[in-house]
Amino acid sequence: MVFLKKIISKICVIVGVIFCLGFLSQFFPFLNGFIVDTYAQEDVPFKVGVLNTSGSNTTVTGLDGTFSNFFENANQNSLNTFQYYLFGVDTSTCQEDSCDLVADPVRQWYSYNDLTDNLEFNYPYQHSTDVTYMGSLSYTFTKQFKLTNSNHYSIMLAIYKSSNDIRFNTNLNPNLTGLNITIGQGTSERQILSSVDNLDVKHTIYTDRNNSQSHWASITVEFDTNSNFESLGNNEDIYLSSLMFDINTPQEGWSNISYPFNNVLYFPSNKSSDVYIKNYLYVIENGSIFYTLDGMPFGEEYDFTSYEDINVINSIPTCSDNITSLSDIGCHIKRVFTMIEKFFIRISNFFKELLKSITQSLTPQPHTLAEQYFQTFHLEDGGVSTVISKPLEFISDFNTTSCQPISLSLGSIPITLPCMTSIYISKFNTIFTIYQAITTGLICYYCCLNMFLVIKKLQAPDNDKVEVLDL
Amino acid sequence: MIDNLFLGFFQILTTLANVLLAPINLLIVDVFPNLNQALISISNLFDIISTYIYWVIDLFGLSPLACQMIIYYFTFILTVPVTVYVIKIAIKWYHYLMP
Repeated sequence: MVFLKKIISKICVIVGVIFCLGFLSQFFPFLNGFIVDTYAQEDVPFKVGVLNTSGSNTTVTGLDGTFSNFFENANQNSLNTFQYYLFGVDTSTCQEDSCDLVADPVRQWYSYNDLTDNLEFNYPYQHSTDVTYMGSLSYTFTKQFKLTNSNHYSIMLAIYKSSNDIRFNTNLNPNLTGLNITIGQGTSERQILSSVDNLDVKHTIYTDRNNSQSHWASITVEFDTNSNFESLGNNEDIYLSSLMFDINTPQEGWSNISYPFNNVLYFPSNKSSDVYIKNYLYVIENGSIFYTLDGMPFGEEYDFTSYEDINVINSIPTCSDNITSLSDIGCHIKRVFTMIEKFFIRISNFFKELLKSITQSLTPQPHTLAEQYFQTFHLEDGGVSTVISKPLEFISDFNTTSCQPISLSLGSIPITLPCMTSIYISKFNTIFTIYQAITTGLICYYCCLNMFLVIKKLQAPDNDKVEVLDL
Repeated sequence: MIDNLFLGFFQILTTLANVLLAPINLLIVDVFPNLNQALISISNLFDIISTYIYWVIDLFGLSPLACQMIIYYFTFILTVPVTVYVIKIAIKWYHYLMP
C-alpha cells in the first residue's frame, strides 16, 4: 500500500511539472525560442519557390497551394528589383492543398551569381531553330562536401530561367545515373562510387504543376549514409563530387519527337544574353544544416538563430487556453513534450556546431597534427637519442599506417591473420557498432580526463617534487 | 600562427636535443657498449610494436575516432606541458633580467 502511494505521488508530481512547464511556456515565449525545429531523418519538409520582384507585379512560381501569410510577413521594401528569392514552405503546416508560407530569411537567395559554368547540359535533339530538348545534365561541385557516417543528405538542384520557355512536366522521370563519391581531394582524388547502387538514394522533381510554362524546376537527390560509410575511404575522407542525370528524351531521332513534348524539359537553344539560366544548389546535411555547394552565402543578413526561433515557434502545436476537455490536456502535454524534445535537439545541435567551429578554427587539419609536429623531430641514431625519438616517430606514423594482414608460419603451415574489422562489420555489424561506441566513449573519457589533469598540473610548473606513486 | 609557433618551437627543441645528447651518446657508444646494445634493443622493441600494433588495434575493433583521440592525447601531453614550461621560464628570465 505504501509502495502504491509512492507511485501515485510520483505520477502526480510528474503531471504537475508537465502542467507547470506547459503554462510557463505560454507566458515565456523566449522558452520557445530556445527550441529548434529540425528536419533530421525526415523527408525534406519544405518546397522551394521563386519570388520574382523584377516586374511591376510580384509573382510566385514553383509552389503548390495558397500562401496566405507570405505577403503579410515579407518585407517588400527590402526586395530590390531584379532579385529572385528562393523560399520554403514547411509542408507539415499544409492542410489539404493549402500551406502557410513563412517569409523565411534563411532561404532568401540572391541571384547575382551565375553558376552555370559548372552545370553541363547535353542537347541531343533540336526540334526547331529555337527549341532544344535537354538530354542529360551533370553538375560537378566546385566545393566538395565531406560525407560522414549515419547522415542524411539532401541536395537540390534548382534551375531557373528568366523567360517563359522552360518546362518541366510532372510526368518527367529523369534517371539519376551518377552520384560521384570520391576519396581524397585534388590530385589524389579517386572515385570509389560511380553509381547509386551502394546508397539508398531517392530523387524527386518539383515544378510548378499549375503552370505549363514554368520558370523554374528542381531536382532533389536524397541519400543516407550508414554507420560504416567512412570505412570505404580506408582512413581518407570521402567527398561528394558530382551528380549526373539522364533526362527521359526520345531515343530514335526526329520521328519520336512528337510525343515527348509532355515529358521533357526544354528551353531555347539560343543562348543570347536575355536567355539566362541560373541554378541554385545546396545541401541539407542531416536535415538541419544548410550549405551552398558553391560557398555562396544565403544572404548577408543571414541569422540562423532567429530562423530557428521562428521556425520552432511555428512548429509547436497550438492549444486552447481554456482547458475544457481531456483532449485539451492532452494537447498541452504533447506541446510540452514536443518542446522538451526540441530543446534537447537544440542543445545537441549547439554543441555539435560549437565543436565543429572549434575544430575548424584551431586545427584545420587535425588528423595531421601529430605528423606535423613530429615530422621535423629526428634525433641522431644511437645512445639515448634512440629511446627518445622512437616513441615520437611511433606516434607520428600511427595515423598514417593502416592494418596489414600478418603472415606467420606454424611449422610448415603458413598462416595469414586477416584484418578483423571488415569481418566484424560483415558478421556482427550492429553489435560491433555498439561495441565501438562504448570503447570510443571510454577512451575519449580517459583521454579528456587525463588532459584535464595535465592542465591542472601545469598550474605549478616549478614543482620539482618527485611523486613516488607516479614512478 | 599557433601552428607555426609550435613548429618553430619544436625545431629549436630538436636542435637543442641533438646538441645536448651528442656527447652523451658518444660516451655511451664508446665507453658502455653493452648499455648501447640495451638501448638499441628498446628501439627494436618499438619496431616490432610498430609492425603489429595496427593489426592488434584492428583486432580490438577500435574506431578511427578512438585512435585519433589517443594520438591527440599523446600529442597534447608531449607538446603542451613542455611549451608552457618553457614560456614560463622565459617570463621568469625576463623578470630577472629586467631592472
